[in-house]
Amino acid sequence: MIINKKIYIIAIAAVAVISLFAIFIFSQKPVDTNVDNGESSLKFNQDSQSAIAAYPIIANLPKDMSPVFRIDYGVSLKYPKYSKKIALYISSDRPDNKLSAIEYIYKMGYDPSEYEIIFKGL
Amino acid sequence: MLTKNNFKKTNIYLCLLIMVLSTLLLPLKVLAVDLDFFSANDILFYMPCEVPTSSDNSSAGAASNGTIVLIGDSISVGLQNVGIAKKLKDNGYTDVTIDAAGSRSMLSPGDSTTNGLQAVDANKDKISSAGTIVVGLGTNTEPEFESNLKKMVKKIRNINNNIRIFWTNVGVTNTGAKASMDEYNKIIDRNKSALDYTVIDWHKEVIDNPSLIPIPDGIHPGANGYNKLAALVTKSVGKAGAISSSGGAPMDGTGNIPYDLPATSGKTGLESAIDENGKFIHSSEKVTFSSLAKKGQAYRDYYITMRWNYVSWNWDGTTADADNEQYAWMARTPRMVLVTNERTGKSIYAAALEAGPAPWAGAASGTSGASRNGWHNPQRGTPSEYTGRVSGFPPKAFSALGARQGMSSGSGDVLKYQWAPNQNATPGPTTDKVGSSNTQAVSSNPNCGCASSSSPSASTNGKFDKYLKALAYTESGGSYTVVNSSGFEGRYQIGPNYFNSYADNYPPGKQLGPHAATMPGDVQDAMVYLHLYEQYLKVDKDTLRLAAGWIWPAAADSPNDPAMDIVLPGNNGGLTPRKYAQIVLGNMKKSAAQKLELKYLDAPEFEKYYKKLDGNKNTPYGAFPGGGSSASTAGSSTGNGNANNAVSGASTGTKPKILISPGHTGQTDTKMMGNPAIIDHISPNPTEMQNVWDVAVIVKRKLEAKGYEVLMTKNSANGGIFSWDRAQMANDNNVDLAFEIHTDTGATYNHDWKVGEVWSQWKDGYREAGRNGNGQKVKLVASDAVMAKSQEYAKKVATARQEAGQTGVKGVVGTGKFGTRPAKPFDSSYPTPAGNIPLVMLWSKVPWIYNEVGGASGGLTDQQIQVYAEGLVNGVVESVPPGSGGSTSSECGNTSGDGDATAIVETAIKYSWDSLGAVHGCTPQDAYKEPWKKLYSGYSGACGNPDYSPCNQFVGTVMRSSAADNKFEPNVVSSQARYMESHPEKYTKIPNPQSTRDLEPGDILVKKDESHIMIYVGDKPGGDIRNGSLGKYAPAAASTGWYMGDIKAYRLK
Repeated sequence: MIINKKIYIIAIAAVAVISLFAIFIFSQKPVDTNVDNGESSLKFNQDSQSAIAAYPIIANLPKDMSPVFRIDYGVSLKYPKYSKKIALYISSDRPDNKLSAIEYIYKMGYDPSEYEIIFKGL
Repeated sequence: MLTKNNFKKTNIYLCLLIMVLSTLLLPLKVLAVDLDFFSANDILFYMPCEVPTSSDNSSAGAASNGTIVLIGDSISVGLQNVGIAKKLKDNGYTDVTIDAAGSRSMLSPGDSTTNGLQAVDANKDKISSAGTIVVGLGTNTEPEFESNLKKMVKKIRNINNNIRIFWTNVGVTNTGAKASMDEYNKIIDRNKSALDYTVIDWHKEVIDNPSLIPIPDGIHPGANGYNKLAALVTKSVGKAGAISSSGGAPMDGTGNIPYDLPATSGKTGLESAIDENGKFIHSSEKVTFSSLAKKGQAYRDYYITMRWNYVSWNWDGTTADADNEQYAWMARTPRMVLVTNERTGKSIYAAALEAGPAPWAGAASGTSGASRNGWHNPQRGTPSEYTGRVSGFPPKAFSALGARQGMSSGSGDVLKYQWAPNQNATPGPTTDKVGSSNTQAVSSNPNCGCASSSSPSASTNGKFDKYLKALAYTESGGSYTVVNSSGFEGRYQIGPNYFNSYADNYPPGKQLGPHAATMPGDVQDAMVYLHLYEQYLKVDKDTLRLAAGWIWPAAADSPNDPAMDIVLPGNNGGLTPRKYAQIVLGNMKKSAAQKLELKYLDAPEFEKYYKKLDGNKNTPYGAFPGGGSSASTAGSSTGNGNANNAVSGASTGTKPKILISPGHTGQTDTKMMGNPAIIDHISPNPTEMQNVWDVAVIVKRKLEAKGYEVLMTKNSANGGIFSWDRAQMANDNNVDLAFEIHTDTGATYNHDWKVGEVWSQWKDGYREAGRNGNGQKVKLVASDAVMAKSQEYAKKVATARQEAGQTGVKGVVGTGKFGTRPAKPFDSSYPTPAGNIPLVMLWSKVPWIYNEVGGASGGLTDQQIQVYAEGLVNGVVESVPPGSGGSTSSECGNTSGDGDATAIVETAIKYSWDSLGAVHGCTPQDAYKEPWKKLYSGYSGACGNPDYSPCNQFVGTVMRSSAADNKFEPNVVSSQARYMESHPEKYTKIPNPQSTRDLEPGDILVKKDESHIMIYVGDKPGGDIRNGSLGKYAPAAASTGWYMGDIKAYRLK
């Protein structure tokens, strides 16, 4: 019985050492717990493609091309509860610069009247 | 049977009397409206004798083809006998049908088997194809003459709605018949407009020459009389093929419209818009030919006012001596006028619906009263020597002509006018020109030698509408979804018919008037509106001001102009144009006082007028309520914080990038930078250009030898690009340092080639537009970190240049002046306000320094060039050491040595595809494999083994490998979000970004349900997002797209 007890203790100790080693090893390497993100990221990318198809202008906006205006896209204020509507956000600080931005949209080949456009100050 | 009654000359002038009385009383009504200057100024004339017209049965403008039918009684038999058929054929009528019978009336066949009504049916085929029919019935008495007449006309119309109908009235001298004939003539006359036919006034001919009808018959003309009547009929129907107006307008025998236009050239002005009832939209008053407004929107949009010749006009605007025949002719159907603005090359067809303007409207300065300004009092039409306005148009027509209003200053377009060659045309823009060969035929003024101008400009109306709609819709922040087509809501009056029915018809900026007090933002909106007009319709500013109701400028510019002090008819409290101007401006001030920031396109000009109004010439623009802020807001984007502004680490592990910008270009050119007041100006300076080019070439060669990547803004001494483009070149290439090389080999430095300066970007530096500045400023766009680098580099380069031999060079930070020189311009204006620094430095998002040096007037010597170059090279080496790859010791405020947002962006781009994930599927960029393995080696999944697809692993890899955050949580989106939230010292949270405007490249985006994580990279190929998609796509491009409202962002500090 004494022998058996020693063996038992040694076994427990060995298991403990192995466990500690395993914990150490795994602590050095990231754990895969990201499975739950799969569907969401796939949908995001698919919707991204659809959004660009629906609003090709969003792939070509001059968010940062001029010192006097920028054109962004974002949530629609007209349809705040309908995520598949977007608005163009023109940021400028003067009416004439807003017009320059609108003219830029025209030059890109788009009709600004077809978009919900929201003006913001710079 | 003939009746015997006494004849009495009884033409109906009651209508005329009412017209004159109305004219006298009208102004009282005009000025009872909402202070609309246009009404007041133009003093529109209203003819109360509205002549109802038949719009449904209108034969307006029908062409007189070669088929003509005459139906009549014994008088027509006589016409047949004197050969009217031949006369008509001589006038081009190839198919003449005469159905005449003695004693015939509309209900009695007389000597025929058919009465008048039956004759219509009998000649149905001819009538159906005819262009003209002449009815000569009424000499024989019959009961219910009026109802029969109506039946007859209706019957004809039912067969051919477009036929021109002429009705020859009754001319007799028989005293017994006269009474009933007089009654018939009244009936014929009063129904002509409603039934849309033209009266051939045989009665008048007989009255004027009774001998045409011999006694004792007193009914049938003699031979001379028949010939006279035949001539009258022939003249009235005109030549076959000639374009005539509705109902067979009396022609002059040559096919021309018989009435001259009031003027064939002259200035114009803006009139008010009207509705479908012919009422001015701003009031209940009607235009002269109000019923014609029912013809359609085009007639309301493109009508013309002139001092039509049917009355004589007095200087005070009253009229007399009316020609009711001509009036009736005009009232019957819209008479079309071709108008050409030779300056713009634009023409329109305009419908004559309204009379005016008053003689004094738009008169030259100093004119008042009769016999002035070329005016002969009274005057029918407008005398050719008259120098004021001769016409007017509502806004849409006015714009279509691109017209400048002719006001007291004497400016304004002199338009050309003629009766439209095609009276059947729809009012609106046309390519026809007054005086061109294809329009001469019916010109009422054959002497008009108006040269046809160049081809017309393309209409901008559609584009304009789109602009306005976009603006109107969007400026309201989406809150206005106005669809009320019968009125307007909100300051933009948006609606499906807005541009057609209301706003376009309003003078632009009308909001400044009655609505100013209740519509915050209207002043600025009006400026937008005006700018659009100016920009896209090319209307000059004077016109715009007036169009906006801003008579004030004209009043202010004409302090001694009595026209501005005329008490407007109707008095209305003694209102004058000048007082009106003050009211308008007062409204503007009231509106502005609410909360507006007036950021005027024309700020300096407005300021001028404001000062005058205020009576204090020292009153600054800023004193105008809400108006002062423009001086400090334009172009300011400081603090925008775009991560791209940071440059350290910009070219990790690569050669440092240097951009050399040798000063000046080979030509003078300017570029408007969105804001018209900010001009990017380039100009040649040959000596300097050659010197600095030589320096640049040396510097480039030496830097490249030291391991730098060097870019140049020009390829030759004479080349060069705008400041804006140079700045963008630096920004796009994310260079580590950009610098200007200039010389100032003149008196500035006392001709000392060893003296010079190195300027840096300066946080408070700006560029103020205009000679003395107009409040519009461009400010530094670079980040504080970049600015700090610029200042650091400026000092190092200055030191290096000193050590090289330019011992007097200083490194300076702009503090009140551009360097230490006397205030020196960058736009040829003296003095440049303190604080101005070159535009290129303001627009650059990377460190940019600006080098100057003195020297003899003839330029630098070769040795001096070498010294200059050596100093620059050494300065660059000191600033951005070779091999540093841009990773200098200064890390844009991140003292921990971690990477920054730029590094995040560059790393994310490097590790991912610039196309959508579906293109490459699970295959990653090669560059991603190794850094990924360091963190996630052995991970496998749906994308295989290894599986590079997880989104969180992509973000984890980028954040760690870019050194942006070496402790970034590697796994699980929610854990990564918790990590960023629990480290506010490292990350700023943007909880609810509304647009990409709220994001900055390098931001970490997390879906609000924490099921996805990605990196925002800004304007990059493929999309503004880089992300992985578990089990589907290795890291690739995407777009925030529809998810903007469903994400939160974390920004590395």
